[in-house]
Amino acid sequence: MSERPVAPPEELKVIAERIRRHPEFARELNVSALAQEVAGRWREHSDMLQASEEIPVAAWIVKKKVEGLIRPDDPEPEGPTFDLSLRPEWLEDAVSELRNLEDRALMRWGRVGEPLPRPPAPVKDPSPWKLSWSYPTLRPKPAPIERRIAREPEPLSVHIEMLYQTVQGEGQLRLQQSLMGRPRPEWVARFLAAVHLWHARRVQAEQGVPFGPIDLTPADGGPGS
Amino acid sequence: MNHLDMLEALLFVHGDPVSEDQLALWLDVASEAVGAYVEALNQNLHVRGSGLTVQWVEGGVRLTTHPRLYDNLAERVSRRAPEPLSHAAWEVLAIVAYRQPITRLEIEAIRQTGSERALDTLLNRDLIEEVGRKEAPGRPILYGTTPRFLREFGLKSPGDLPPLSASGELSSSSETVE
Repeated sequence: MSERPVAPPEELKVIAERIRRHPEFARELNVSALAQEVAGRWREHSDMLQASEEIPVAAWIVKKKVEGLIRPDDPEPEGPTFDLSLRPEWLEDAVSELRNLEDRALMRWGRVGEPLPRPPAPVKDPSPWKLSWSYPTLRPKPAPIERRIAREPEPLSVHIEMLYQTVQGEGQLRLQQSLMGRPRPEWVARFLAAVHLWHARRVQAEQGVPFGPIDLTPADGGPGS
Repeated sequence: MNHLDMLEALLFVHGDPVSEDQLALWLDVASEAVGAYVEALNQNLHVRGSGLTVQWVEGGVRLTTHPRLYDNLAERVSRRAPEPLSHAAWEVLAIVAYRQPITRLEIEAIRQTGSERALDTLLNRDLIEEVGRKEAPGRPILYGTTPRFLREFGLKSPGDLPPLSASGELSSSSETVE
């Protein structure tokens, strides 16, 4: 068999299209020469994108060539042959019966209800763990993540200024009473603020007994002075 | 507890067909006795001229409207009609219903035409389903009807299909395709 000369590799898609239209063309194609040429080109010009487009086309051409050599004269597969005269008579009767059934069924209206609750299937070789995993309501639930929203603490300078303003406004302030109902971190901040004000001689602090109440008064005698 | 009242209430609550076994459990009676209670309830509804009636369908019992009210109901309440089936789909459905379980090739041999699309339609409509594989070369899929088919056609089981003419039965027995 005389084989056709190798086509330029850039015409790979053209060749494929021609084989698709005329499969017998694949049989006459010198596919090994074509494969060597394009493979050499892929090695020399490492354009991976172009190669990725050409390789499947080249593979398809080789496949068609092989198919053409192995099964050159395979007849086209034939579909099943049917003969309408072989249709049984009962088929129309069956269709008619079904249509009647449907008509009768449509005469009744059912109520749209919720599906029946199905009892859980029995558990094989039950153990407490298997049982608890078999019944969703008993499954151990993961502990919810505790979410806390915390207020950003004010800087000590703010506490100092607020405490000073309060002492100035009221004339006398019992520190323990001013802490009632406030969160514990604020106790520390207020106490430190009071110590700072006392050190700075901006307030006077009096504590009658150890651990007793601390009374704060303005160092300059208060608003009335 | 009056069993008939309870049976009526249970069927009212559950729109879907309720199996005999389930009713027996709920009514605390033997399964064999359920049929009698259902029949008694049907008579009871009939005697008092109720607009409801009992229907055995899909292997269970359900309450439905009485067929005599169909025209009046249809005038007042719209019901979404199912998409009509093509003649090919009707033929395939009839073959599957009367000859189940059956393979696609056997269906096509009876109809003498391809039936793939009709089968797809019926599968999508949940009127037929795969019920197994035939022990034959290629292990082809066997098709059968679904519970939805029973409900839509008001049948308790596939065995309740109306019998075909004698000629149909005879011809069907000689055309089995392997």
